[in-house]
Amino acid sequence: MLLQVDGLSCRYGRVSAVNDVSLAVREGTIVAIVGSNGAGKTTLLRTLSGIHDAAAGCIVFAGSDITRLAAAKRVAVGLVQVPEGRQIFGALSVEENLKLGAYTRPANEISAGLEQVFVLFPVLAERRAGEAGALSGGEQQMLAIGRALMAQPRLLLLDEPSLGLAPMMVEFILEKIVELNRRGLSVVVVEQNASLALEIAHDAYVLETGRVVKSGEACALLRDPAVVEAYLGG
Amino acid sequence: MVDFLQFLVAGLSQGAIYALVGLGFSVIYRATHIVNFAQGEFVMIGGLGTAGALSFALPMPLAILSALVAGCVAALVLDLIVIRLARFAPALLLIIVTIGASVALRGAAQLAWGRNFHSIPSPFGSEPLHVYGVAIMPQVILILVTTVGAVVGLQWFFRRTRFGQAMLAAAINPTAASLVGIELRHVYTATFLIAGLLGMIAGLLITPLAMVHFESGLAFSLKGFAAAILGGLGSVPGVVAGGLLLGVVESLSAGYVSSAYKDAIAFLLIIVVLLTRPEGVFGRRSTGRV
Amino acid sequence: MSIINRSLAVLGLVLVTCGATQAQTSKPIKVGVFVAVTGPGSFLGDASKKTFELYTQQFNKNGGVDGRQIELVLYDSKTNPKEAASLARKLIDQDQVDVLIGANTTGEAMAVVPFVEEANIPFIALAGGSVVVDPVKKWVFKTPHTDQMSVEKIYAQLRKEKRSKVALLSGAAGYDQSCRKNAKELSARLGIDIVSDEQHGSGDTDVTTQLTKIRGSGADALIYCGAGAPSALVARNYKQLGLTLPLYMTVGVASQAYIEAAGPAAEGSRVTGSAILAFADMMQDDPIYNVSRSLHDGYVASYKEEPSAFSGYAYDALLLTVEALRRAGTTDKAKVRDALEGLKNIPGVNGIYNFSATDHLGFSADSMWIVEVKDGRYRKVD
Repeated sequence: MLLQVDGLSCRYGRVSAVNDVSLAVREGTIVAIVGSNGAGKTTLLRTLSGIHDAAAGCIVFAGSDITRLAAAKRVAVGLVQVPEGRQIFGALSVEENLKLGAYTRPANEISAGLEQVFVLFPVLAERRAGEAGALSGGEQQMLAIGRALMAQPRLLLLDEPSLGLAPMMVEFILEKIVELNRRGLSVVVVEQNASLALEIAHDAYVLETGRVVKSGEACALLRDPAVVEAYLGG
Repeated sequence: MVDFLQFLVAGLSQGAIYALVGLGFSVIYRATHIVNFAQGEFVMIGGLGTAGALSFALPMPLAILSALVAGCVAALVLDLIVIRLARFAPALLLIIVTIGASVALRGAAQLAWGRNFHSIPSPFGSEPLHVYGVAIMPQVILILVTTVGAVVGLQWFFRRTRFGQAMLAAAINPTAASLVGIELRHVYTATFLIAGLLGMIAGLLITPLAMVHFESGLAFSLKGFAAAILGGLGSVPGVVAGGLLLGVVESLSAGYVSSAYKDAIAFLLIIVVLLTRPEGVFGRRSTGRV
Repeated sequence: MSIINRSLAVLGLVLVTCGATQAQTSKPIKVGVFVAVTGPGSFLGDASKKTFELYTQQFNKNGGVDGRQIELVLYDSKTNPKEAASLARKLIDQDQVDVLIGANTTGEAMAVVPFVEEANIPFIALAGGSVVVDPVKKWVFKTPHTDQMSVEKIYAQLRKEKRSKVALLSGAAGYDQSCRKNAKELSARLGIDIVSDEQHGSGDTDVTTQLTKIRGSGADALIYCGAGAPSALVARNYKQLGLTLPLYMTVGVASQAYIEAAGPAAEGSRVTGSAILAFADMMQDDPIYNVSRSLHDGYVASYKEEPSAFSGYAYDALLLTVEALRRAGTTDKAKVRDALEGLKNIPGVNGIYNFSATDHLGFSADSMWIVEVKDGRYRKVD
């Protein structure tokens, strides 16, 4: 297992947001976490990245316990998140954003990393000197993914990658995620748009009010009547 | 004309000092959104610390070094207290904490260096240069050159080094910064050290011309803060321009209007700026699309 | 130093009480003092404190007041009028002192006056402002020369040198503004023309702009109405601009600290103050020579520095207190006050005191000297 989460709980003050969640990510797979708004998906990802403290449970990544590891250090071991709403550094240039993505990597890896990202998203190469804040929503999402890739992740955490994008752009981004996965990158994708996520995922978990209510192979969940009714608008 | 140039020289040299102090405000504000009212105390520490070390017959470079070390320790302690508290305390409380810190630093300075005014010798002596009838202290040239150097250095650091970029990133979006692996603790510590150093450089530059004592920091805090507000708290070139503008306006209003009202005129200017351009004369309106 | 002093004082107390049997039963006389040891007036209060501590001990060693010891109760008023007022109340109500001395600054003195008048206790102020004793207040006396005297003295000197066009430079503090006001008011009467009236702020680090204006004003003398460290800045900027008109400073500057702070730039500037500033130039037949010498020699021996005019104010206050207590023969406050008011021809460090019902300062500008900085020392100007 690349990532093993056992009995994880997190709170905001006295309010419990994630409750006794256990999940596993196999090396080389895409795992989808679906659920409605407020189900605790984003809190779960923030806790995996160390932005939010775990109240109970443990997170084991690539064989070592990282439950108490600082957020910045998790990036260095290969657990990298593309946060909800892109969160790019708007006042900096596209290239500066990407270089910051490689902050935990040695300086001599930067130019190779940039090259890879520019191959994946050629539009970023055209805009490399421009201010990141001036990019369109889809380009910003590419930049956010590109920035995460610069850290040479082993596991990429994507929080709502489709949010606010035009359907064509959603399609394009998902294709790229699948492409990255085929090249060996493991991915956890959190989505409100459950059908999109389940279509590209191997395994999936359904979150409801902070708890895992269903889990299994993504294609099985896609056919589960309860899931279809609740999340796929069937 | 000679008088005008003399006023200008006075205004620019004072303004450069305001600019350095203002930059300290700006650096900390950008990274933490805290207005550090202990900023002026670093000017005092730079000047008094060096003067104090010189009184023990230390050579100048060592004296300066010891003052810088003392100031860096103060900056680290300030960073520790303020950033620890920042996890749960509201911004207003943190500002009050920095005011408390400035009182504490003044007290410590009084214990360490006494209550007297002190000066340090200028490396270029105390004989003025005469340029077209304008008397210019060589130290004034040093002030202007060093200020330009500090600004260029700061810009280079923020734009061209990895850690400088990390500091900018953390200022823009701390959560995203930690998601790319930037340790915010290091950034905040570096922020306080840089702000402290800027203040101490100002202190080293002004002390040979004026004198400092343990209570000198307050006036520098006020003027530096005014410079930062005038130029737009967030922008390095803006704050420098704000400082120079403040110095020159003060000097020219003392020269041509009334020396009794020069401070009032300068602060009137700040109020007008805040009412008409809240982001400062040279500040950028924030680019909303993120 | 103060710990050593205090232990010496205790030692002295023990020795005296063992030796002077007739005094064994009498309680010490309590003298309450509040001075500005910290805050902006610390350069005044520090010298005052040192003087009080040293000379209370010395007076006691010489037998105190007819065998009764003087107990000094000294507090730091932090150059803060509110603090001074509350300390004065504390000294009067809790410490039950017999005489009150203090207030290095005029603001502090004026804050204390109402309490003193209510409590009917003799109070000797150490503040320069003439307002403290003008109009005369029944219980209030003062020892320092006033800013007004400084200005009078300077104007007299200027007329002697046939100069009449004066430029004023003042800071923002209370003393500065009082001096500036007096300088303007006295100018017409004494045939002086104020051609320039410049000011600087309290934290300013440059006054070249003001001095440049003064240079162009046609003035033939410059008076700086200010106190403490900014005066050194004025002297430095004055040198930097190469001004040639004579630079006069008032009693607010009268200490060695000015020369130390201004360095070579102090050379040639003139300061008004007590003769003790230029003790070396005092004549032995000067009626205040002996008293000045006793302050000068003792102070230098104990503190390794020259006494300032501000040491003199404290010294005289103590001296006048002891003399009044001795003459009253009691600590009854009304009688001590009457004795103070009745003091005539008492040589002090600042001049010869002649108090009366209409004069609680007791000397004129004549007792003041103008001194000039030469080779890092104050020398008398004739």
